[in-house]
Amino acid sequence: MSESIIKCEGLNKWYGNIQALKDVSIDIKKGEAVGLVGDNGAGKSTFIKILSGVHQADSGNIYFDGNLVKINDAKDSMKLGIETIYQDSALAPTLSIARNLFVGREPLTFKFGSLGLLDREKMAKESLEAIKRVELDLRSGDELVENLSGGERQGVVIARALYFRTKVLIMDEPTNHLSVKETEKVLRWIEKLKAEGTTCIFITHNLHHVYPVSDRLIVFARGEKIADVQKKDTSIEDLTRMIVHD
Amino acid sequence: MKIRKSFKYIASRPEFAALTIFIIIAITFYVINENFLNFRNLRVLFTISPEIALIAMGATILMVSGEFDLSVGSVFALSGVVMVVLTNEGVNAHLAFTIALLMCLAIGFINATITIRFGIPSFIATLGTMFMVRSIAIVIVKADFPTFPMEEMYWLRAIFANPIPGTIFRMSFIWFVLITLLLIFYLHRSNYGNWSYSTGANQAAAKAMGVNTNNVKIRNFVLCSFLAGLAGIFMVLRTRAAFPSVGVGYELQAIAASVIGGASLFGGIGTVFGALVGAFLLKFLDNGLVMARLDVNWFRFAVGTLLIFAVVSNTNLRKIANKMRE
Ligand SMILES: Nc1ncnc2c1ncn2[C@@H]1O[C@H](COP(=O)(O)OP(=O)(O)OP(=O)(O)O)[C@@H](O)[C@H]1O
Ligand SMILES: [Mg+2]
Repeated sequence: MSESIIKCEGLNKWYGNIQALKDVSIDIKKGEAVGLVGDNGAGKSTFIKILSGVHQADSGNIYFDGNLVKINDAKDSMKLGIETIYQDSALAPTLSIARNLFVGREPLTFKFGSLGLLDREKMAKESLEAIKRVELDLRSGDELVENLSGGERQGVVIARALYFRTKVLIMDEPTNHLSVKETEKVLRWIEKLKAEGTTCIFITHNLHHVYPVSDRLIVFARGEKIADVQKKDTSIEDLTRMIVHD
Repeated sequence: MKIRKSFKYIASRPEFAALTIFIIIAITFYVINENFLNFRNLRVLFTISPEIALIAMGATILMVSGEFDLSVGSVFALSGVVMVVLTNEGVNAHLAFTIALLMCLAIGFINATITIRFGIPSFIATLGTMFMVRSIAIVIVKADFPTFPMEEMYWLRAIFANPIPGTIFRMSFIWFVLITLLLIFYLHRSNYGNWSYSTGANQAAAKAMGVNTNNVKIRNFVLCSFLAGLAGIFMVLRTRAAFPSVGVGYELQAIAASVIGGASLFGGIGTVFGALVGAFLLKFLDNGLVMARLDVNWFRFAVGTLLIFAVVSNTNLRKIANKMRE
């Protein structure tokens, strides 16, 4: 359990003269579910954007599976096995579920350089299997994503992570704008990901959502990590006090 | 249930609506003047329609990936002019042909570069190059239009332009069919196509999935420009004249054809077949008005009506189809 998957040392990030991250060190273990909490502008999104290659830290080191890595873009991050879901921007609404599942990683039957013929049979079959795994009530992978509810969309994204055996799944506000029922579903999926050995990192403003599924909670304030505690050693009240008062 | 499903299928595919209108228009004009679909006129229709269809298919693919190209009409003129002028200057005709097409690729690349590097709307970037390219086409032919080098163009005409005896088709039609099939493969059956759709529908999502969205756009800009240039060369070889003023307004006709065929101005939606039907629809309409001895100036009115009708109905049909979950 104590083997680390992502280890960050002394990350600093400046946006012009705003310091968004101050000397942040975090060690995330394999299979852990980590909740990142903190007030608006605390630096949570900045932290995950560095892990997913959208931004680069100005200083500090990142180790993945024990190796020092440089994450320069989304591709680097995906190659390591990190997948990031941003609110509302993980899927292409006018495309089918099947096409969305495989964007950038299409199964091909024939290849000429990087141009290839889509294996549509495989896409149809496997997308259906993938959405069945998250118990989505959809009969085919041909349905357009724009016709899905917010919760179902998160389901598709999580199905994608499960399908590609993502090592680390990062989610920015996965339960935002979701109904109570759908939120519960998303939380169940996170449990499922954990059971499959995927490490989950998620940001949320709703402590009541993260708390049940997290193993560990990290509190950010003004770019600094101000607390890093196992769930068993803390409570929602403690955490709330830290977020509000610091 | 089966009817419902088929309805949903058709409602979510606007190219079928366009195809229906196309058939209605063809029949109507035929009823008005039966010469509309006679051998001679069909030959005309199947000669001019593929030229605008090539441009429209390029425009649709580019629109699917979220960008526009307003310079296609100018590129259409410049490619033929460059080919003819170079040949008149003593350059080998086939080399001139190649140079003209390479130049179109370069213009597409420039359009892409300006759009992406400076982060400006392609609508503006290509409006700029539309004027620039047109200007170049006019300047290089100087005062009057160049004479057509008939002898030097013998083979190019044989390969790309001459009528196929006994049929309504010219050689260009074979190329057109071939290119259409390749474009269908590209947009609908290949991974590049999937990247184009996802780039146009949600660029951030495509990027997050590791798609190089800039490369996707560059490729489609280049493709669009190439097809416009090729269409221009087809026309010059067919008419044996290179006017620098041809193709004015084609950029808007291409966009109109795309939209009538179901493409969305917001990206992520559109089909090659839809663009093809849209383009044929426009040319049949144009020619049909002439054959019906109506004032040809009604053409723009008809296109405008169709365009608005198509967008309104596509939007609503899509909404209805979306509500019909199986
Ligand atoms: N692209 C950017 N350019 C400039 N400043 C930025 C940028 N992104 C974030 N910031 C600033 O960096 C700080 C940290 O922002 P960040 O988005 O990481 O916070 P957050 O914890 O995710 O907040 P929220 O809960 O509101 O999403 C804020 O002061 C923010 O204004
Ligand atoms: Mg944030």
